[in-house]
Amino acid sequence: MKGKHLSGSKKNQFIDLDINFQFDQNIYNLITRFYGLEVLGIHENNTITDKNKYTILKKDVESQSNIEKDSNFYLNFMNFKSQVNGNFSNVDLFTIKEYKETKTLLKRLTGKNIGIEILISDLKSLDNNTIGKWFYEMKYIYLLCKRYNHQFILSSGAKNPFELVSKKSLNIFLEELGIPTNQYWNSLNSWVDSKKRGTINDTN
Amino acid sequence: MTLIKQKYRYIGIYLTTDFILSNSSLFEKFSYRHIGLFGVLDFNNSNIRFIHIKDFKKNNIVLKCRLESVPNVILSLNLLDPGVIVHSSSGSIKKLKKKINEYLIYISNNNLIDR
Repeated sequence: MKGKHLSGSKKNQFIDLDINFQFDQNIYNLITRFYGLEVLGIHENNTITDKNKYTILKKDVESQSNIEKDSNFYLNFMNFKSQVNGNFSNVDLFTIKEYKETKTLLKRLTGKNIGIEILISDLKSLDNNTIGKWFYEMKYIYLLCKRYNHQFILSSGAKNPFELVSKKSLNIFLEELGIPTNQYWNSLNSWVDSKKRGTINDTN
Repeated sequence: MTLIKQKYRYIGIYLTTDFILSNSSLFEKFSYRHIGLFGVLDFNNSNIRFIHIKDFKKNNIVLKCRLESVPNVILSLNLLDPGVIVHSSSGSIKKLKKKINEYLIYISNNNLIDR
């Protein structure tokens, strides 16, 4: 990964912001080598033996834990289950689990540049009809995100190494949703840069 | 009339233990998903074949399909439950074998299989 930087980089990096299993350097190397992804979002409860600037910790705002001040760059996230009332002031990212009230949420948070994350792993257990509807809903959510200035994010949501989704597969999902891939990676890279907080350990 | 030579792609698939234990055939699961999402016409146009390669264990399967159908095939493979790993694709089976070998060596050296 030498020579690549999250900020000031001209080349877009491929990002999967939701990986939810025990994570170490071997897995990281596997993902970068065979799946073509460069920046990964890891849930805070999963171990990261080698902290580096290409991993982003995800902290659930509903949990009580505190991330150390000197840890990796982190994002506060919340699972959205149609609860539109509440204090969302410290949330960077909503992982959408139910689509019902998404429009109200996006409208309410207009201009705050919140990440709206959709997980591919949620799709696997669904039947074909529901998957068809899912694609329809996601196109709508993408348009809403554009309209209300939020960042649409597509992540694998992998709960084990076998649910990982490669860069190529992510691009295919985006194309199926009618999202221009270059535009998506550009805006996601800028969004991640804009949300930077905490200390980044530069090992180079 | 000249017949245009069809271009094909080979996709490397690794079956997880969950998938093997579920006693379901990959072809059945895959065709159900693909037909459900893209229809019978697309499925037949894709000219899909599953190939078992002697050099590899049973959980390594190669899928052959038409080049134009690759996006739909990869999408269907990613939506299978239990999941399968789509780790590499190539235009020739020789190159794909090399890629599969690299992948298998990497995961076995680092104990990444079914953990």
